[in-house]
Amino acid sequence: MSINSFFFILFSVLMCISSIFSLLSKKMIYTLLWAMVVFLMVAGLFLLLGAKYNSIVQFLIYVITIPVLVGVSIMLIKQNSEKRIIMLNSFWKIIGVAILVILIGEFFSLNKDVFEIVKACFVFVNPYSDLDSFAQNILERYPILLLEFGLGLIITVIGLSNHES
Amino acid sequence: MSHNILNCITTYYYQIDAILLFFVGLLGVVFSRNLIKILLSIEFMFNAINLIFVSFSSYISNNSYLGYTVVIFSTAISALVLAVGLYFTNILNQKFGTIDVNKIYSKYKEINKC
Repeated sequence: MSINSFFFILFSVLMCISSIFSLLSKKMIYTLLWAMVVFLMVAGLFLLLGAKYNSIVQFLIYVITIPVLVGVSIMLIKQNSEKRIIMLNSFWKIIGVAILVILIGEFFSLNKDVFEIVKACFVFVNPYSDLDSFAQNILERYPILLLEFGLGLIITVIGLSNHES
Repeated sequence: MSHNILNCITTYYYQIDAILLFFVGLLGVVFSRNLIKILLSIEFMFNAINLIFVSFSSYISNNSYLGYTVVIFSTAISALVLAVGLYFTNILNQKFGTIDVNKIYSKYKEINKC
């Protein structure tokens, strides 16, 4: 199994599992956390496909800004006051996560070419995926679209801030 | 040399992955009653479509960058959709006191009857 395929399987399996968990979890904050994992894995798949810029944008928007937005709205929404249950099995959960981390670390340490795996994330088959040329391409070919979307964002922000409910 | 299907991951597999994610998002939109979950499921669907665009674009790779550019704008649109949707969610919560779609609908019907 090559490195690319290993990462593809890792990302895709984690993506599918966490997307199902995000729908099944009852607490909203867990839904958000699983959704963050899904978005992160999609960013990884973009990276594997050679779309560096899209991966960075995906990470910045979906993994950083959107969780903040959704988290604030979850805080604003009044949820039914649930009594805090002291979780006795939280200790075992922490131990389980620690064992998982150790196992993953062992896997990477036993493998001889650890640095090659890390390097493989940044080496792509597609030669036309340079950041500079992509940004230049957007600015040269689609400048009006870029302006339109910027205007749309500004109008939305102004409209949301001026609305009096 | 033994033929192993895992040695040659092509764009085909990425598209299957994207279709799976799209259907999970669709199931979330159809079956979940929580408004925030519905919005996040819509985001899953957006992500699946973005993945399909990027996979096709990397498959063609004729220096056009069309797919990548579409994905950038699609991301902006999805962020807009989520922001506006969360705003309406908060308004509905203030008005009806819940974000359950069925309860909101029943309360809306009660108000309109009176």
